[in-house]
Amino acid sequence: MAGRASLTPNAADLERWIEQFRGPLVGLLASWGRDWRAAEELAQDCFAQAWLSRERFVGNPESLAAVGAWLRGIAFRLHAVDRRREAARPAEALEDEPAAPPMSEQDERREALARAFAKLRPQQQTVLRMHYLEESSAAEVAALLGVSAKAVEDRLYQARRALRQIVERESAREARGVRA
Amino acid sequence: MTRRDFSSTLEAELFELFKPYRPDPQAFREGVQKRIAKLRAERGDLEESDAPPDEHDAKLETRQAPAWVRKAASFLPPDFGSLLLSSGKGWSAALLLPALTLGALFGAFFMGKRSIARSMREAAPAPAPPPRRGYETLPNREQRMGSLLADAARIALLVLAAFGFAGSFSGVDVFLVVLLASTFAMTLQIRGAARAGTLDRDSVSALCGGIIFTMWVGCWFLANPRQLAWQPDSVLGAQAALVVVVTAIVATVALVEGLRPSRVVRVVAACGFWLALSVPVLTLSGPGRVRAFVESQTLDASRERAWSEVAGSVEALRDVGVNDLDLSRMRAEFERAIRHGWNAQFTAWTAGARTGTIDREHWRLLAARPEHARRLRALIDEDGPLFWPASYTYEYVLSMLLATHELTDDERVRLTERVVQSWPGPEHIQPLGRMKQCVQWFDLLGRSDLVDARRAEIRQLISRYQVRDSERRWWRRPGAFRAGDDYPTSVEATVDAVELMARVGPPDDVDLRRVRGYLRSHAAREGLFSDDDPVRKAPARAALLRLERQIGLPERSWLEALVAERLLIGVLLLVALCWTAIASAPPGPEHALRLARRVRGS
Repeated sequence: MAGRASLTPNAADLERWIEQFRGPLVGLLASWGRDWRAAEELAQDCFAQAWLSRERFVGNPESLAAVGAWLRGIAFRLHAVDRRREAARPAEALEDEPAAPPMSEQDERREALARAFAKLRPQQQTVLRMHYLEESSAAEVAALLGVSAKAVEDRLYQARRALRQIVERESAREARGVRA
Repeated sequence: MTRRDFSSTLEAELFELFKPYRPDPQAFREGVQKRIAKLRAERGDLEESDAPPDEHDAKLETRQAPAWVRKAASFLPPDFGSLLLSSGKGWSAALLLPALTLGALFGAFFMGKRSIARSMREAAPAPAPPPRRGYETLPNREQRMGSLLADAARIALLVLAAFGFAGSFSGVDVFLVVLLASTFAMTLQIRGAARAGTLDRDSVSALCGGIIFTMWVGCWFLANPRQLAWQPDSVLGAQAALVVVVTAIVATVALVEGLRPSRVVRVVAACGFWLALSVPVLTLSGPGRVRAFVESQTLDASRERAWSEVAGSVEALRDVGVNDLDLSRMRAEFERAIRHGWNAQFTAWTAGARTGTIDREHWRLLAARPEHARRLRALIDEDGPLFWPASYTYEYVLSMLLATHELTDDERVRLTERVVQSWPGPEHIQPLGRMKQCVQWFDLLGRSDLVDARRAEIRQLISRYQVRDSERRWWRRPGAFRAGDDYPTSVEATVDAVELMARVGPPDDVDLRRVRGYLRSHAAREGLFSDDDPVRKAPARAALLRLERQIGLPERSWLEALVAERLLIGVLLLVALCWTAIASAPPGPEHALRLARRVRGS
């Protein structure tokens, strides 16, 4: 707070929020079952809502934790409204499945990685999406998830380790299959 | 490839993997600006869109805090300053008393410690006086004053327990003031005894025992669910304070009587077991318990029990991002009921509609049944408000209609008009519940714009039905919501209000922490190993989850977090003071004899 004349978020704050939270927020929304395009649009809605209701923001606009918690709340709300609209079509999605993994067909290695990604636990997928979409820092991801940066680093480590193990296991299986 | 190489390659590959989905920063920024412009236009927010940003910011700034508060905040440490600014008008009432109480407790601890140390140094060696009764017979003024004050504190505690048990006021600060008085009384009595030359470990232990007993009574009283409502921010609560006090009782007896460590451990374990069985346990935030409830319920379509509670919990879990729920039991029950043509309870079908566990084919089969076909027909053909007051019971019919029938524009308009007619007015009872129902119907019909247009009205109603401090009665708990102007507060109305706030955002003047306190008191378990009626508590637990994870509470500073735990801090300080006094008191002849006998016996 020191050195800041006003606690009201201003245009520069909005710019900074977008820079800091764009990637993690899109990643988070994608992990709630949205495709990437829809996640990006909903993230834009979140920032717009955040700006228009900035008078309700309590705390320091420069605090990652305060802004992250606030954006998370808005994202939950907008996601819930969209989900209720979708509920009018019950046959489409009975159960919210985890978002489809990002698929790429450029090479086998990436395909294998995408397949392995799909086998990770949802929590691990979430943190990888949020971090690797825009190389966001652990602190930014943590602020949006409401956990400590250390917890995010731990989750990233566990997720990478699990991913590596799955890839190695699958490679070994394929190699055995070729030999046979 | 080494493992390290693999890791760096993996990192690079992960970045590459997500590259196609990376938003273009410029396009993203433009998208946000477009949405801001669109939302302003939809809201008719001409004043804001026309005003230059700086002017608007200045207008907002004047709403936040008076100039003198901002100036005062600049002289304070950062956390306290932000607290002062962010808390606004009510900061003094909300925080000043608890902060003062906490400060006074720290002051009492250090001053008491100093006074006791001085008393021990100055203790005059003299023979113990003969036993006497009554205040006037006590040897000096300090002891008489201390004794009077200690009795007054105990009487105050009894009065507090008698009148405060209903939860109509916060007992924490009153109790801490009683503890302050008791501490003052203890130091006076120790000082008096030191001057009279009667100070020894037995007499100090008796004085400290009185204070610890006072703490035990107070913490027991503060751990009841109604008082939990007044401790919305405490993570550890009165329960942790009670554990400290019980441990202190055992340890004090051990210190004075010289009990063997093994016996102390056994007594502490027995007390811990008793506490775990009998003291309500706070429900901390987290979806685990709600999820366990949803996945463990055995549902019976022929009975009403638990369907609406499970559906509400599923919706809350999904709204906070828990999407991998196991709803196979619920699906299986629907499958069974539909396949065998059973007439299930309407609440079961409604739960199916709300959780999305009935698929389109099953809706078709259900819609073909005569009673459902009749309801569908009535929904499309009739005019007037929808189904109220039994809206929840028949809520599934709209979902069934949308799943089995492509609405024409005319039908959609007519249905929307019926929802508009159902919108509650001042004459309706349970307006919050009715409003929540209408909001859900608007969303189902794809008319969320009508909800947005009513946002101000909804917030006004939410604000109107929260009970303020000035309105509290024994049947109206502050922070909770009521179903009408003259109605008592209820969990149902509070759950409706929380769901509405999750949809349209909380009004500025609604105290979310008080709401949390009320919900926590209804969500607490009866004891660590028991949970008497999870179905009854499910709505409060789901609403608590929404409040903490979906709506979000204002961020707390370290000072606020400290003040929230003032009961535990106060108890810890006073226990430490008591032990300091006992340990530093000279052992009297009886105490020495007792210890010597114990050593010989062992």
